[in-house]
Amino acid sequence: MSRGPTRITDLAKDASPEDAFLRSLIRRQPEDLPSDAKMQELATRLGPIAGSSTKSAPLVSGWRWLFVVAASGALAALPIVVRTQAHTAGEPSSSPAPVVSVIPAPVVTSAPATPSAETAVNAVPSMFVDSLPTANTERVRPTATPTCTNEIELVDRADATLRAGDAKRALELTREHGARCPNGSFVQERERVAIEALALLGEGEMMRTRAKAFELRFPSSPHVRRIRNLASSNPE
Amino acid sequence: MSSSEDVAAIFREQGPYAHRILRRLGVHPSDVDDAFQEVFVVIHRRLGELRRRDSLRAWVYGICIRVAARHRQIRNSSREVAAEEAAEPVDPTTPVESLSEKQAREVLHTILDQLDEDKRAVFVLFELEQLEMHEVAQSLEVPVPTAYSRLRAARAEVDEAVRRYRARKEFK
Repeated sequence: MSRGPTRITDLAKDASPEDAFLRSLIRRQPEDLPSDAKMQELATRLGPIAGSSTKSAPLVSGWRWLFVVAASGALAALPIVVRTQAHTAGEPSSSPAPVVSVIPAPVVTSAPATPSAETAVNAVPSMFVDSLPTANTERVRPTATPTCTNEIELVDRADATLRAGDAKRALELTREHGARCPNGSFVQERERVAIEALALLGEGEMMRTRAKAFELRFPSSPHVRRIRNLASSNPE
Repeated sequence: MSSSEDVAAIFREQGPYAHRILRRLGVHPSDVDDAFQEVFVVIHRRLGELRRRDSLRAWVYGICIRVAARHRQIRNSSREVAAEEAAEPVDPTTPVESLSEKQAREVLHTILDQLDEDKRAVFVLFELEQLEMHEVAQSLEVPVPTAYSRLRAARAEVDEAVRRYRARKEFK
């Protein structure tokens, strides 16, 4: 077989009935590529990961978690003056806008961090602040705290550590994420790791409390099912 | 680690195909966007492993395969069957030419659902995504001869699945 196999769609007409059926079936397949609007939506969802492709993204994200995170982020970041978005540092800064001065806020939490997502959603119009055009806006844009850099790496490391069996360390990393990125884009993922870590550590009560809080806060999260299963397999 | 622009380029170039292949690999439609996000998180993390430009597609597909496998596993273990999962019944005696595109996709996916992950992946990559066999092997991270033998086995299973499908009076 030096030239490689022939694809079913290229088979001769006298192929078997199954091949003939498949050939027609494959040829009949729709292109099935997502529309531009869909890709834009996905870019918005990915935020900084998709880099410059998110620049022209629509302001409002249809994604529930982003919706909640953005809204609560805007609320929580009100007292904080932020440097230009730290987590979009990889983007080319085509805008000549001067960098807004920084106050590396020593964690300006005027109240204990008990984020009420529902309240936040109701109180603040939801928009993804990083999607806002940069032109002529000298306003300080509320966004994540300046210390929230490499958020993905941090959550990913926590997840990898958990999968490697070190639940304690994984939990520590989620705490670190909680401190650095209280309103980050991967809060749900952090919580999932933390809840799984607590389960592994035998902290059943704490795990269930956190699982309940998660479900209340992110009722339509893709992680809910997994977390619910975890909680139900560790009954009181 | 200023890889945002690279990831953005991959997103533009490969994103639509990654989204499509996740569905073809059996990720449930309601999970595809989550899986897609996961794929790009992995791409972002592993970008340093990508060296040759011409391997980009196979590399991205390889990540899609692993993410898809995980999502299928999660969904299978949850054993939840949402109403939306119920496939629109298609009369198996309907000639393929008379199927709508949507029905054709459903029929194909039902046939593919009968394959295990490895065989589904090789079949999808070669027959649907039209990758070359060396790219298929690279995506699967197996030697090329292994990819060939998987393709042979996948075709045999697909033929069997087609026979079963056509023998049925009612579909699902």
